[in-house]
Amino acid sequence: MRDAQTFLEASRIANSALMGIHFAEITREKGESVKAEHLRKVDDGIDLLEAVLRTLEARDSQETISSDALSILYVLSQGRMVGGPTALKKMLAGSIAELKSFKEGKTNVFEDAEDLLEIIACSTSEEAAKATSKIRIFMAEAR
Amino acid sequence: MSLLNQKANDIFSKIAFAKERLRRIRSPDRILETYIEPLERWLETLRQRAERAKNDFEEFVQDADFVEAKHLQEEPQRRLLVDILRNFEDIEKRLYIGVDTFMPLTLVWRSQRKEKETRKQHALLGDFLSGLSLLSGISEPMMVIMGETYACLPVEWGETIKHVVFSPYSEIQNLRKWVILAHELGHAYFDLNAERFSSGLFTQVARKLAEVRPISVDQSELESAIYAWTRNWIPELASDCFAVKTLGPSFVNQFVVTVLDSQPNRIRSTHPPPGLRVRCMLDTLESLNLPGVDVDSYRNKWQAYCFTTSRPSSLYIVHEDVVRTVVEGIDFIMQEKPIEKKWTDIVDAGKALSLGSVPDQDLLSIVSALAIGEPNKHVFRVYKTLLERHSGNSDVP
Repeated sequence: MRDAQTFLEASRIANSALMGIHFAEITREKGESVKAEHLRKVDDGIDLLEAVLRTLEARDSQETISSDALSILYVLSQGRMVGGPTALKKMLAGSIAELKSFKEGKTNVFEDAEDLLEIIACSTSEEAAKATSKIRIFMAEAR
Repeated sequence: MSLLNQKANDIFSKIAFAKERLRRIRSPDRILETYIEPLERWLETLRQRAERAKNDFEEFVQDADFVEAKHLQEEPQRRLLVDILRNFEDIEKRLYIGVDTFMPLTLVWRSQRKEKETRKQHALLGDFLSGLSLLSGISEPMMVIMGETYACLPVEWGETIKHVVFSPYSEIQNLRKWVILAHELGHAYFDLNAERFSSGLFTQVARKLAEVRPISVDQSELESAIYAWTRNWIPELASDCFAVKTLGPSFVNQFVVTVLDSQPNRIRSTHPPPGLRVRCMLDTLESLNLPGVDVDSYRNKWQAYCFTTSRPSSLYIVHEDVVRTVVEGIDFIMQEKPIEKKWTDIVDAGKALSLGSVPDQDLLSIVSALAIGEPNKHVFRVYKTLLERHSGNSDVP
């Protein structure tokens, strides 16, 4: 159950950041200014990626790590897109920079950030679904 | 009405139904009411989130000129609809976990507490769990349900985490097995102290696994091993440690019987191998130094089966350095040893039981004493006596 909750929360934040990005893109295409609430969603995505990056770095330096971020690292490692920790750190740092630049309106093109958030949103959602089916079986038996 | 607005309506209807059902529980008992308040609060939060999701969709319809008669081709618009649909999926999953799994349990709980056939059994079981919580310093009132298996189901409603404990119906008269519930309560202890475990210990374990992994193990496998340890194995070993430090040999004796099978060293991502768990438990038991407890006799009995049927795995995931890091870390965090203040009562209860009488001691001491002794017909007589002794404690009219 806790697994499902952790994965759902990660998926929600990543997906919300994607929503912020896509709303902003559509608005900018029309030449209108982006609503603050959509930019806040992008901020949440930046916070999420920063937590994962911090956890990855903390593992090397014996500092406290976030157990939720560990779950995201696990999910990321199961996909084919992300290799070892060095490549992942680079990708995370690059994505954070891209999102910050996007927020400020300096760029509208993503190299990594959008795909990374997409992977987190989809993969964590799939893991949550797996964990939920286990609960489903358990509850059916318990009842 | 658009399809997605219909879906939003379904969600609102579920939330309204759940709120209504909660309101209809007019006089919840003191345990159930500790679940209702956070659930009601969480339902309102979820309703507001569903409102925002609906508004996001309406904004999308306007911004992207979306009509249900044709599909979109443009990239950001197409992807935004995916995000919006995924947001609804997320809300539906949360409703399933937070409402559909939990609310039927309230019916089971109330029914087991009221029905003539089960109310006395339930009262006794509830008293046992309360005693266990009191001894181990867990203040969270918990629902306990006679169900299919031993389990501790955590339910998270926003910031609030509550637990529902399950005990198998088929073992309801076998008091000796009830000590297994100490492990389930250990999961609640772990959740309530999760921060203490994740800060420090998780890092040490992740590093140790990285250190001992063979060259052939790739990053993906390493992350899986870190995940298995931090999300599943550490909570299991911590719950074991909690149970041993709370009930001592009573728990160990019944646990060993419960997990005894032909594959004591099998590796599963959800639980550490039983052989490893028993070894850690026996080490913890030994460290307690309880008078009159012959840890070697437990160890020898277990090893007679375990060492005959299989060998410990040589996989790096159960590398000695990793295990030592975990066990020492858990032991450092979990310094309380409630068994130390209970052991004399358990020994006294055991002496009275061996003379054929049902002792006057508290329920926890009697059950723990039964769990160490030899199984015999006396257990059922003790059960019947305790059933009558504790039926008056029920707050069900």
